[in-house]
Amino acid sequence: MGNINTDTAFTEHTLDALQARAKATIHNIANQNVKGFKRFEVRFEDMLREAVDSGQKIGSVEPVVQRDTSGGEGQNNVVMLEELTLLGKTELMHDYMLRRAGGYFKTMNKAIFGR
Amino acid sequence: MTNPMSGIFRGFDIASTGLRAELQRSEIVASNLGNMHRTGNAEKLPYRRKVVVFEEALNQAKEAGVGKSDTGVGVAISRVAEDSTPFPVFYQPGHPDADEKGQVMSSNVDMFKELVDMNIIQRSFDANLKALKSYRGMLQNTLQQLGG
Repeated sequence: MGNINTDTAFTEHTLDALQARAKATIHNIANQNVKGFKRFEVRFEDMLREAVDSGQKIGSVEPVVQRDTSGGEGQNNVVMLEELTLLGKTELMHDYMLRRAGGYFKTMNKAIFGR
Repeated sequence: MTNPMSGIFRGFDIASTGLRAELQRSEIVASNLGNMHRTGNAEKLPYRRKVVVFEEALNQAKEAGVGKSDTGVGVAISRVAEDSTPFPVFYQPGHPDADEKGQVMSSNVDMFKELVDMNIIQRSFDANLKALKSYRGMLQNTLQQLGG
């Protein structure tokens, strides 16, 4: 406690990841009728888990955007319902992380200004 | 990228490319349905069905290191191709387009295929619209929570 940069680093990276995931999902939905398209995915949670297990700082974990190459050669691997569910999940999680960040800033405000 | 805010608004741009592409595809389907009864013969060919080919749009500036989350920028129409299926021929000597043997060529549009395509387009359009609304909700929440 005490350094705003390190305290908010984790929240910031999570919001980044969720923002990137939303964009990637929208891109996947837009490309659902493109022949041979392979969907984008954003890796973050599993890397967070690895960081926790290996004792690294969770604030240092950054999201990675990559192609999901599953499915046959030249075959589109976008499933519309899955993308829509993922987008809904991302939206909710984004809202939660925002509330978390908002609460943190509110607390800091209280500590500094007493209101 | 000249607009510094384009990173955050990119979600809207991506969804809108999807909407635009699906809308253009529906126009081609409508054109196929409108021309499906245009007959012809060997000299004056009947209407040939048109097919829209989509392609993925990728960020050209990505290599310049603008931002790793902005890899894909939506979908684009690469071209409008023609369906090479042969024209069905039927026999009707009195037809204005009939040749000396009484053969008339009809267009290679299959009405049911077009109607099914139209349904698929509608679903895709709705999905893109839903994505757009979700993204707007996310930005709205950001303003509410962190806007001070």
